[in-house]
Amino acid sequence: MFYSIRHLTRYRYDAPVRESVMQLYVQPKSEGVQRLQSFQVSTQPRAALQAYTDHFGNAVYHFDVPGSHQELSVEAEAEVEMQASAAPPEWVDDSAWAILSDPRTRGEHYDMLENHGLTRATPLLQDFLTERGIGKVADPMSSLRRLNQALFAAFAYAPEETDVDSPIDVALSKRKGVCQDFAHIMIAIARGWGVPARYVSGYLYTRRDGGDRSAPDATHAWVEAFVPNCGWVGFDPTNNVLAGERHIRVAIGRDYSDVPPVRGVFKGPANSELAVAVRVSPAKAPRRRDDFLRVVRPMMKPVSRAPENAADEQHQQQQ
Amino acid sequence: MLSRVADALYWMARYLERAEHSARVLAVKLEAMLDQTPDDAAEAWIRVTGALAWPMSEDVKGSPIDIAQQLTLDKAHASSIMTSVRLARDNARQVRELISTEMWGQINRQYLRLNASDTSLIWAAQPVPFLRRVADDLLLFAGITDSTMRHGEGWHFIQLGRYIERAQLIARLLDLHFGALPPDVPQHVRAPRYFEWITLLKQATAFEAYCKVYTADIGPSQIAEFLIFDPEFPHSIRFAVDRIQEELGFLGPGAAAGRRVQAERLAGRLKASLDYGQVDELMAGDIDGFLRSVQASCKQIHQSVFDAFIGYSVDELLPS
Amino acid sequence: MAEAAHPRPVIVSNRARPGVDRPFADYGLGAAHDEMFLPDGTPRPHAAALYQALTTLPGDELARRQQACEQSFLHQGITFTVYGNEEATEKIIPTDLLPRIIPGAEWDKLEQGLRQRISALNLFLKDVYNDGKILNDGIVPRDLVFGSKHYLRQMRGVQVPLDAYVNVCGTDIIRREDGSMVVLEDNLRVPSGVSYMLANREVVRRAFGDLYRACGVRPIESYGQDLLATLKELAVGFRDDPRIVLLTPGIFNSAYYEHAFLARQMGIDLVEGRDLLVHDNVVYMRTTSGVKRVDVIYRRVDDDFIDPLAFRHDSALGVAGLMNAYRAGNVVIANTIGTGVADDKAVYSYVPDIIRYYLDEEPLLGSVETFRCREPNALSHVLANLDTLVVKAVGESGGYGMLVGPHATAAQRTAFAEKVKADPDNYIAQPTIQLSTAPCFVGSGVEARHVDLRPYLLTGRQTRLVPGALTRVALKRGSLVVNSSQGGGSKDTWVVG
Repeated sequence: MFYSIRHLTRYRYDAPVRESVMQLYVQPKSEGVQRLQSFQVSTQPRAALQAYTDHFGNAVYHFDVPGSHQELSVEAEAEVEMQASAAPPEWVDDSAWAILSDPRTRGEHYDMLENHGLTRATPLLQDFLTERGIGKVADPMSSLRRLNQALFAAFAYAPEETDVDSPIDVALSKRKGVCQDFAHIMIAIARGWGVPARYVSGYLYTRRDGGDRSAPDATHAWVEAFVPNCGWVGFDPTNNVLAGERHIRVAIGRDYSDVPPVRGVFKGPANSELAVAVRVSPAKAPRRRDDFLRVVRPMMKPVSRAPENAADEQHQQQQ
Repeated sequence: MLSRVADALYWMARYLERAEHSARVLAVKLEAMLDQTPDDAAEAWIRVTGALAWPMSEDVKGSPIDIAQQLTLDKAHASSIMTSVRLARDNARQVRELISTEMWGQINRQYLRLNASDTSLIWAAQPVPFLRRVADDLLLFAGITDSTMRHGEGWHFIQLGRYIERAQLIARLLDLHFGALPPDVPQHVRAPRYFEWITLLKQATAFEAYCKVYTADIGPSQIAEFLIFDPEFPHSIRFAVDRIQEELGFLGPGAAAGRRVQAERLAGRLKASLDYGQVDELMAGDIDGFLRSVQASCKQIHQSVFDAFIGYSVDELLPS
Repeated sequence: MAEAAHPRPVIVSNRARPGVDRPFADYGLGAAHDEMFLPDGTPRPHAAALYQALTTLPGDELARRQQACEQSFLHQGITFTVYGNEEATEKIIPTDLLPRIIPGAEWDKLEQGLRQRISALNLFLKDVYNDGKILNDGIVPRDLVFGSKHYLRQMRGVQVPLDAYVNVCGTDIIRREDGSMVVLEDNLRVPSGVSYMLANREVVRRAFGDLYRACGVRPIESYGQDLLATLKELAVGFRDDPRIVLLTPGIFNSAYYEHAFLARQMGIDLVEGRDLLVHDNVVYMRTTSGVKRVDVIYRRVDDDFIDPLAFRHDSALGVAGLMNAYRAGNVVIANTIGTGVADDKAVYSYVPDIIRYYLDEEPLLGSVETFRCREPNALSHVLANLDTLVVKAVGESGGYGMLVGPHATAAQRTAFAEKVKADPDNYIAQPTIQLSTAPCFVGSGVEARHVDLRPYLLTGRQTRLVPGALTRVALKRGSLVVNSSQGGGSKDTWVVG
């Protein structure tokens, strides 16, 4: 199956800004059943793209726009081939728990076991687990499958209720959220069980008629959990499926903040407005900017130097 | 030289010039009061607040001595000597590694003395000697600067700041004495009389130098000629503008010549108006307009220096 | 101020006894090792000259010199900033005039120990940011390293010039009751205080010129050149004359004086984050003549604040994209980012094992016995003995987050115990060590005060150490806390012979 992906991000500022430095996690991976056929990024204003591979093996692009500008856009286009993969088993042997608790396994997957950032367990999470009767069952695979389903059932899909970097408590108390929230909650629970779990940022070829809840014009996020004898298995609690041929992986991290699709800073006293559009199509469909660009809330903050920074400067510890 | 550092040196010099000017204007005025009737004195203080506290002259009130104290010691007033010295020192701290130890020692000592717990007592006992001492200390700083710091680019930024500030301060002070009063000060003030002309000369450290040129014959027209057009007197506008024009050539060595064009054009135009100006024409015509255009030109020169050397946009300078 | 202005003192035959005679009438010799006196009250040989000077100076002369020294500090602006309720005030770090004297032979041994320690710590840092062998071999627990807030994953796999992660290290050394010198803390991030070492030397040499000459004090004035040479060495593969700058958080930072001082000593630009920008992975600074490329940054800005793109996004002190430029090998940052993981107080307790692991040598310098509260047995021991222990939060420095058990009230101990129980991984405890005491001029006489020692080790292609250190003083009688943020002072340190 071939997909073509177009991902457009546009910042508009209400006053001229300068020295924007941007960082992108937008290149689909080329590993396993996923093959990257082509990829390109263009920016406006034009800039030289630099790239490196981060410590999780993700491709990171970055660029800067030193001069004055009032709009900045990034357009990434990729073509990806997805091969069918064998479906993971319904369950694994219950000795898998022992393998997971082995210090060597835990050491190897330290980063994906530790409570971190947005995936930190909270009292509210504990209440939620108790209330819904969610817990470990016979083996890790069955436990995760049930968890995936339980999260799908417990939460309504509702854009605009949470931010990309909201703590899990926001979604837990509202019982609503989007893919990032569900992924963070699932990760927190899985890690609590001793199952290494990681955040996956990517794209979904959405099939609304197939029961998907995800908005088709957004980036997607789901979870990969390490199951002994199976390796990393993708779970998508937003859509109550296991990640498969329609899930195009871009980056993995401990949580959203490790791998935001686009992040940046700029100088200048301005507010920014962000618009994002994503289209994943199985064929090279005609693409027009206007019919799929939509405005979301501002998410980029200026780095400014105000007198109150005195406190910041003082805040640094003296050794 | 780092742009931020040049900016700090420039502002350090401006604040010091401002403090020195304030100290002298206040000291001379307080002394002159002894020879004037109380009413005259109170009215004439409008010229002092108009020259020093502007544009916050409304905030300074009370008896002459109250006004003088506020303009000297009030930490909250943006134009007080206290504030100017503090800001000068803050800027000096920014460039501590660049200025000489002697310079830092002098400005720091002065700052500490002004902030000592007994300052207001010393002030109250003898305000005029207090102000004289402040002015002397600031002159000393200028001397230390000239003889201990390399006369490199940083020094030129200091000179530029000093003379841009000075040209504006003198122009403003003259504006309060010649022609109509500036619109932003109370208008019920009599035209200056003999005493006040002498006071004006002294406030510009010009009395003795003036007498050498014009003898003790005190007249507004000669005073205007001296303080505006004299090419050799350091507190004349023309002298200051000559220095400004010279200093511009030393900024940003190696920078593309195009970047200083705007500042040089402005300074050249201002200089020409002083080189070829005539005091009779001014006195007969629009001396207010002239003095205000001097102040406006200085502001424009300041802005164009900032745009060219300090706050410039980097994109055309970077390799692509 | 010169001593020659005063009549040459007559040497007194009956010696002044500590605790009895002036000026030592209030000098207490206790359980601590004293830097000047043997337990029986006779002066140690290396301190005899100073002892003699003190016993023969006229009573008010010391006070006069002390005052002159403080004036000199204030006027030079050798101050740190204290932020209070209303406005910031500038204070001098109180400097005690009396030099602390260390015999040369002892110093040489200390130096060997420090060199060994920094070699091992640099190897440790390279390992934990690359292969993690020491973690795989179970010598240091993985979670201790990966769980440290100072372990920065962005540094994994990043090539560090000469593998020298820590270029400026300010190790805190203390002398125990038995006279041995041991390491209390490795400061591997942005250690400060070296300007005080140099400034103290200047004023003390002026105050005790004759004594200084007579003692044969080893000079420390090359520190600035040594630091510059170290920074140059790191610019491997850069242009022949690399542009080196010192990055400061700005004048509001309490160590700003030091940043300006060092920049002046080295003749390099003192820059703030707003002076720099990164374009296409190259760092530039804004000058009046246009933008100029920067090759080496001696940074005095903490990791968290140094690049708002990579670390704290709200930081206005750093340079966006700096980490990218560093990763690309286009700029040197000293110290490297992420070194704090090795001076974590819990990792500290493993340093002897770290030395054995990488160097296959026995540690030359001792450490202080450390209870890791993360281990259940240690935790219960610590909670049961709070009244005798010093408990510290592992990731903190500067004397913050710390309980000195014997000096705390019962209520303070109870409150602290709760904190430890809530987050045991975050705490370690050590026995309360009576730091050695040294003579300090206090009011009218000379009294004993607890001191520590912070030498500054520079590492580039080679490791350099000037023979001197900052001796920090706990100014309150009996206090064991020497940090300047907690009211400590400092004194000059003379390595003699």
